[in-house]
Amino acid sequence: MNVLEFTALVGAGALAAGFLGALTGLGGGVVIVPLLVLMGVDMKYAMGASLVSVIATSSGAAASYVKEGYSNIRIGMFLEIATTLGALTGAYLAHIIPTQALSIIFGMVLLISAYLSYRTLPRQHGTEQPDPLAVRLRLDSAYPIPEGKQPYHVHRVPLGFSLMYLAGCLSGLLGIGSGAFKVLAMDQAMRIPFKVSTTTSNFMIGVTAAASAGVYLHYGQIVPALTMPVTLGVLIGSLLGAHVLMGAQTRMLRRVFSVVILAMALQMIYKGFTGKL
Amino acid sequence: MSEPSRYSGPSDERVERIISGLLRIGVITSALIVFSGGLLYLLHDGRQPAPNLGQFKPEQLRSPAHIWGEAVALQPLGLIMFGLLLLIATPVVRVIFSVVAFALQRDYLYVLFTLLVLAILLYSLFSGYLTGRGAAEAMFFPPWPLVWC
Repeated sequence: MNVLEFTALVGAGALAAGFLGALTGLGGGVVIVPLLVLMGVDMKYAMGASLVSVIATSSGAAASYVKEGYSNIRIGMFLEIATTLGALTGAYLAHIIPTQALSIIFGMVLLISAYLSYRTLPRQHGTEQPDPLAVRLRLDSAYPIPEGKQPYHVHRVPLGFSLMYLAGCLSGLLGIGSGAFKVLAMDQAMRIPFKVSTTTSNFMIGVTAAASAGVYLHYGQIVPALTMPVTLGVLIGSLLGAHVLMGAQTRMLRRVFSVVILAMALQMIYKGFTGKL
Repeated sequence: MSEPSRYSGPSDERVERIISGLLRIGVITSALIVFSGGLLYLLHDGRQPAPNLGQFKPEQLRSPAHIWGEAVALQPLGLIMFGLLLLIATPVVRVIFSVVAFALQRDYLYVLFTLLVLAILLYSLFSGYLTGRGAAEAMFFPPWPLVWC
């Protein structure tokens, strides 16, 4: 295979990964890493390329989401303290943990992501009492609905903050955006409306990934020949996905995506155990 | 969104619009640079055998100074890396802007939060080169990193 073919192949895979990632709010990273590993790229390089592409996806899609008025900048900023600290920890751990163990962890995280996006838990909000801490931190806000603005209250801030540290940790450890875990923390723990959770999560992913990207760069995990097609592919794919997202049936999409993730998770775990990396 | 009137300065909606624009400019600029570098790379080395990435060996082109030097010399891989660095810097610029925006709104609690995030980001990006050690290991996580994660 020559450079031209390699670049085209990686670019096409990245395009698909970015598209799926944006549609589901889970990010392209969870798809592109197993895909590159499948192509025979060392996982450390795959993580570096994925992490940079995650910044592009997040910033590119956030540009449109922010305009829609769904994402909450205060929630994002506050929780980014936790995610960036976690990202530093994770990126450092990624440097000292053997690649095979990383692969197994990656597979398991994928399985959990698939599970999280498959199940739909009952949620109730809107009628609840405000949480004093959330009020103090000015996290409560409103999001646009056809009839106007729907106010919401944020709950269980310390739990959400801790989960965000863990999400940041996973992002740095595996070179992914860890959107599923950020959404879990906001949607389930803090009871933030789903649309606000996914868009704010997307918004935070770029800052989180930038924190670990510095560490990855220093350790030489970011290779230009690989990261170029990955980043451009994922970016274009995610922009296409973001356009389709508006008004799409997210529940159905998440279910379709879960199946893809499941297959990739098993591949990563298998590779980790057999050592074929 | 509708904050009490004791907050002056630009409204949240206006700040969000500006942030949205910043992100878009950052991503487009860096993508164009990465694309140009990639085009040069393919023109120069397109027929060469694909890089062997099966075994991890740290990339040598990684310090900002080295990348800048290669980029101004119009070396294809240097240009790509420069574009990628700009991309990594985009969220940092966003955070810097947020500090200013919250300060204009006199929302000092969030100025503090945002400065904290900015400090962590700058620490990640630069501490490794200042100390010659990995960013995170330099001072943040001495021997107890496993307790942290």
